[in-house]
Amino acid sequence: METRTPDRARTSILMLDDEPIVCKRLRPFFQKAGYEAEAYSSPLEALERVKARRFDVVITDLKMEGLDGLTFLEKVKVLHPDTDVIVITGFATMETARESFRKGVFDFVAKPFKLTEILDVVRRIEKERGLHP
Amino acid sequence: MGPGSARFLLRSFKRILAVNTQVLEHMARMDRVLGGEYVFDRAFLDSAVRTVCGLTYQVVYHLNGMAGEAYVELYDAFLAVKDGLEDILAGGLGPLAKRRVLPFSELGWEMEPLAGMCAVGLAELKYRLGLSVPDGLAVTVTGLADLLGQDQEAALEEIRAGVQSLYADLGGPRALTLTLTAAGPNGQGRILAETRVQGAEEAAAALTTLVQAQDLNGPMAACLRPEVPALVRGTLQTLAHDPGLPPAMRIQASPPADPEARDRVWLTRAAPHPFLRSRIAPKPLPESQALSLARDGFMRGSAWLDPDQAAQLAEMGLACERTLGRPCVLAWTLDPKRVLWIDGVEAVTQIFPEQDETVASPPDPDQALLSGGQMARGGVAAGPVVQVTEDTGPESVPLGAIGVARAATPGLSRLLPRLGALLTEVGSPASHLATVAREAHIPALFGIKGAFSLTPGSLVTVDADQGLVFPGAVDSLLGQAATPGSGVGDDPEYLLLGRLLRLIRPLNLLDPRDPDFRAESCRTCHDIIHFAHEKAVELLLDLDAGHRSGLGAAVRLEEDSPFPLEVVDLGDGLADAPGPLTLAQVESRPLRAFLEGLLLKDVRRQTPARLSLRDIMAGLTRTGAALSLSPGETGRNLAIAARDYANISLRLGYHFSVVDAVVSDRPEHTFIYFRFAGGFADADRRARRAELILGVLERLDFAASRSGDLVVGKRKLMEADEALDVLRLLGALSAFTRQLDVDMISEQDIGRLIREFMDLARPVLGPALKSDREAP
Repeated sequence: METRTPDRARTSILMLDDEPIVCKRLRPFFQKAGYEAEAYSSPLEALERVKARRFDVVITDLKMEGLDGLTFLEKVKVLHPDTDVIVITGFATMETARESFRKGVFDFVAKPFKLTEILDVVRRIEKERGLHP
Repeated sequence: MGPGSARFLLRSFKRILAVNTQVLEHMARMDRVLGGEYVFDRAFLDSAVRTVCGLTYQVVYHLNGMAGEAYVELYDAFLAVKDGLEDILAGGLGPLAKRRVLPFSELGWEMEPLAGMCAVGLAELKYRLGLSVPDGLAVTVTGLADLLGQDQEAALEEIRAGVQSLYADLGGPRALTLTLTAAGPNGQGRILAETRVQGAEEAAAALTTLVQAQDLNGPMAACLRPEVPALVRGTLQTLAHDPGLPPAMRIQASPPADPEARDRVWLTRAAPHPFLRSRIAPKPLPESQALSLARDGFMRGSAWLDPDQAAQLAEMGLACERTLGRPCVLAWTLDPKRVLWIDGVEAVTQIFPEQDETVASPPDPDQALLSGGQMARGGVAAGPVVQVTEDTGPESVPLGAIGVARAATPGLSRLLPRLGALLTEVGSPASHLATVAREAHIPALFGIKGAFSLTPGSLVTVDADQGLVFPGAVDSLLGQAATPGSGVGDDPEYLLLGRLLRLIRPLNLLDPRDPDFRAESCRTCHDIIHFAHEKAVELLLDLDAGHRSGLGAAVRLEEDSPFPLEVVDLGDGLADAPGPLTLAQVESRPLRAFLEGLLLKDVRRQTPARLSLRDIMAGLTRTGAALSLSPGETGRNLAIAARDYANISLRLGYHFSVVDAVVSDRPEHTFIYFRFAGGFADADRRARRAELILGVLERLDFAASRSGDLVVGKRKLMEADEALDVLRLLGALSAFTRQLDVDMISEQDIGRLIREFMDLARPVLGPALKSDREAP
């Protein structure tokens, strides 16, 4: 069985959730789907990484110790305005959703969510941006 | 409208139905989350438990409102379940936490923190997979903590009693292997000490000594099982990272008398598990055992295990790994009859290297043989394809094979533990089989077209997460799946969810005729809502006709029905038209569909029942009162109907069946419950008719079970049109099976009559009878 050899840059995704189980589920799923995927449980480490390089997509939780997701979203958008951010949260309210969209979030996904749901959102971003997995 | 009035009862009944549906929806969602299809976090678990408990409490409250607080014991049962759930969320050890000793037969994988990995692993391999594993018992974390505390005497007494009980099951005293392991939520199954003991007294004393000698600052558990006589003993590590090799399995083997004469073999993790490397110890061989050079270059005849035995061990190891959700080390024994036994399970203590992402490049989806389907349970597995049907015997399914079936019927659930993965062409992740796949940790894809056409015996790799099936063994996928922490089910949250579901999902109370069908016997949320539903239906049916204030009187259906039926309208169930009640006036969708099937003349059997004197005598011993829930209603068939709801109770003197159905445009609100019991003929023939009904229900994707002549089946989560088709079929089945028990003289009649029913029903009820669900 041949493995896939990327002939062009794969879509890069950074995932941030302080609950390790979320990263453990998302990272291998996106890797298997052909994405370049990095996962972080610490917001500060994720922020350092975003400062070091640009990602096509950032997926972040909202409620985290140390740095909340909305602040992280703001910082990502300042550093890389063309990075699309998807917010995932178990505490979805209309208020947080409105605030997220005001700050430039691409989409908002409530936990628990299906793996295919978040993949669909990433594919929408790729379509809009002309990216390829 | 005060308590006790018909309207109050009806309103409460409807609330119970609505809340029951909500509880079932939440349970189904939690169950699906366990399969790896969803990403969730700890907050989801807290919120799901809170919601299910809140709704279950409402059911208890409404039932007591209907019954004038006659079921206050149900509040106690609810509180016990709720306390158990909160204890688990708080890091406690669950409902059996107070037990000091647990036999293997009571253990499940989610009890690992309480009973330790060794006992739980052996119990799963023995009782779920049916492998050669000695029976045994666990001394729990609680039991060992008590050994060191004030309850030492009581703990010792229970351990002695447990060993005596084990000896009774084994047929006499034997030498036992005693293993002490680290346990608790973070125990990881490490073996702390192991010894051989003889007798209950010595076992209790040795355990005390071992526990006192440990300086482990954490919970411990012990496993006791009989020693297996050995020709050769060894270990199998299900995942070993050794330099120069891909992720592999490693076997060590040596005779008990000469542990230094140890063979070491590395095998691939994919069937048929060829050797990757071997280090065979020099050993004297009997003259009759000549060495020969095999085609693969290995010297044949010098190893303690032959390649077939090694492959058999490898599959046992992978089955154990699937069950426990992480790599493990199995202790095995080859007995003098050359039977391989698994007699120990331990966690892998090796430090695994970081995953090399360049190795884990995914295969090209374009090279997949099949794609699509819905994930019932995530994961990756490779193995030979084997076609499975409901008639396939578990013994004919090679351990670790990839099962392919036309439909995800509940009858396949007994095969699941033996499979590496399951593919079905038809089926839903909300089905009973999907739940069993999640329980057994078996990757499963349902609704994947072409699965049944895969070549039997060919090697394939299933990636259930992505909905892809590749030819051969895909090393990159298998390597990634073998990385500790990458699989579904090895996270603490999954273990926690599994333990929570144990107190939520199982339905233990099935038979309302059982003396144990009591509020005090409810052990799960499902038990509570089912009990409340049954009792609420009884309360409605027990309404005295003269006191149905505000309810329409029961109206007799004026159609050519196989039996008389009266209908009570709950509202919008019947058209407001003068004259006799006909089918045309029935506006209740589920009742109308049921009646459409019931009234089909083509599906009724024309030959009269052949009654023997034995049948008549047997029938006379069972009065209607013994078979029905409400003696006053014996012989009366009653339907309670609303626009989207029907409860149909058929009490034909000698058998009793209930159909309870909600048909909604929202699939998650739709359910059909069917119960059947009794009959006129002798016990064997009644059981055959029950088996026939069970067979038809299972072909209709019901989660169904039979106990004697009682059949209980449920279907949930379906589109309205499909539910109506199923109800038509149940109506036809009710007409077809009337008095059928007396005609069911032999076991062959079961299959014959299922076919006869399907043949009669197909022309008129085709949509519900897909070809892949036909009788064999």
